[in-house]
Amino acid sequence: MRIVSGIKERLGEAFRLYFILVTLITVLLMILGLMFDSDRTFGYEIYFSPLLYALIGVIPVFVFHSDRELSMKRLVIRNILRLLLVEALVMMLVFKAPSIPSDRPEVVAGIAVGITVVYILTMVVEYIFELIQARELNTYLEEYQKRISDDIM
Amino acid sequence: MEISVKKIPAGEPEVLEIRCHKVSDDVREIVSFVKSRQGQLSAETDGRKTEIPIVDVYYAESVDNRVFIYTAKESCEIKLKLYELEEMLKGRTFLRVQKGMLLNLMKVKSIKPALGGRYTAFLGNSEEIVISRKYVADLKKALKGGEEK
Repeated sequence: MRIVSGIKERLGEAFRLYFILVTLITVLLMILGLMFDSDRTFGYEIYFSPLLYALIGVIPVFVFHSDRELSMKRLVIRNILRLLLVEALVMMLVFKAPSIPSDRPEVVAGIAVGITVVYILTMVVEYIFELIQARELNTYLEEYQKRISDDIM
Repeated sequence: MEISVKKIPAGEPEVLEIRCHKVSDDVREIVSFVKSRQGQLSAETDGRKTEIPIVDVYYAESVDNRVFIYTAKESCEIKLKLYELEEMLKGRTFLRVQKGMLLNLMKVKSIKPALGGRYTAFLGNSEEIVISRKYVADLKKALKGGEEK
């Protein structure tokens, strides 16, 4: 039962992360493309790229996962490890994909920095969602406490 | 007998005072009812036994197989397992927010997000409690009027 709920939790996390990543990677590809390869044209298959890269981005959710409550320090370390894993996986793809000019150091550096920016932005977006959820929880909390107080009276 | 209820600021201790000419059986019955309604937990602090009203408990925590309850100013050990305490407090305003922690929702002032899908509950006694990611759904359900687990 606990394993099932753990898998469900991870799938939920990966699902949410995936769609945030697709959006941010699309923006990143646009920026990097305009910066380093603005004259290039692609076919419709290019729309698969953000979907594929986002899939790579959610892999760490399943690799670095702990059922234990992590301290803030461990949480930060885990996030750094996740980022390094994504960087490594994407770089492997970059050096194998013929469409990416990986022989140009500025392109490789741009992609590496871009991944870090997307990773940080993903956390920012998730934090915004959590802020909205917290606001909702505070409203429910206020109503709950009022309801209980009224019941006592 | 006249009955009056007066609202007081959150910082002031709540007091139920019965002003009577004689401590009759009726008065004793009222006192007994109030005590049972509030509920008390037998705890130990500095080797002496004490009774802690459940409504005064901010949270309960399991540390190294020992369970401690925390009030506004003190912490006491209770001779119960956390799951036994959870069972005892079922139907009250307590909810499990971590594997080893029960939180009194009536003592929470506000909730803010923490890193990694967790939330921090700010309590009336200025303490902060982390609400684990996996218990957020239960918290939402409880606050919306569902059963506390």
